[in-house]
Amino acid sequence: MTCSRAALRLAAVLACAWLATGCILVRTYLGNELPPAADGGIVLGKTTKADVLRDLGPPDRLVRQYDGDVFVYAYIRRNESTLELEEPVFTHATLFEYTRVTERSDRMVVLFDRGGIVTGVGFRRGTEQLEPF
Amino acid sequence: MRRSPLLLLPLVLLGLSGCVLVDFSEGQIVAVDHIPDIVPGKTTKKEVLDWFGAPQGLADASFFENYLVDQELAPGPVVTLPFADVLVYRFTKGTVRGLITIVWNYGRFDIKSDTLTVFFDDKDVVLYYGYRKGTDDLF
Repeated sequence: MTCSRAALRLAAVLACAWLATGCILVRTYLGNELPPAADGGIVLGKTTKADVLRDLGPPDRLVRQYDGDVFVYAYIRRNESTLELEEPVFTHATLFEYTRVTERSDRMVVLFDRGGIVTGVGFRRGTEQLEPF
Repeated sequence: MRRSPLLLLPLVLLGLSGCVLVDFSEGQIVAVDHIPDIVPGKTTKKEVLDWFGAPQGLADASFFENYLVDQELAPGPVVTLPFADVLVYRFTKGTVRGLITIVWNYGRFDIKSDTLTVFFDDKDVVLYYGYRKGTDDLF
């Protein structure tokens, strides 16, 4: 009697475990991280394209404008968390699903004139706002 | 002395768990041995093409990069159009690491790239270049 009750309990727990397919955590890290003060050494009207290439490396994207090039650097992180409840045996119907996606990026844009001198720089660090795990 | 079947639960759960490992890469490995040979004002485009081969955008399919751009996960190819004064060499590498159990599943995607960009003047001599190695930082 004790055994059958325990077996029933086990079956119930397993059924619940199957039913509650569970939580899914997905972390995406895309691109190369930018140095902490990526825009620190850039002086408008003075820093050259060669300086930027030496200090930061090649851009993730190069945009050509009429009056000069634009270097775009990007590092993207995406945290995705899903809680899903599903009928596991017959229909596989999803009974409940909640997903939260948070995406943050570090982006830097460096604008040059036609002579290859920096005319503007924009830097935004966003990945620090994300949970590390 | 009869043990509760509940004690078997961890074993059952363990048996139903698994892990996922995926490694992928795209593009050609950048011939880093030749990077110190690039001398601005001296090295020619012909030499760069001899050392590093066909640049990205002209020879590689970039399937993976295109997928990332479609998913709005990447800013796009380094150069949208092939410009005569810029050659880009890029090697992209990615890993997927996942742990799958019944109630808790975790996946991590890491994508990094090594990129060499070389700019030329109107006489096809190197003006400046930049190289960044990112694949060493892969998780």
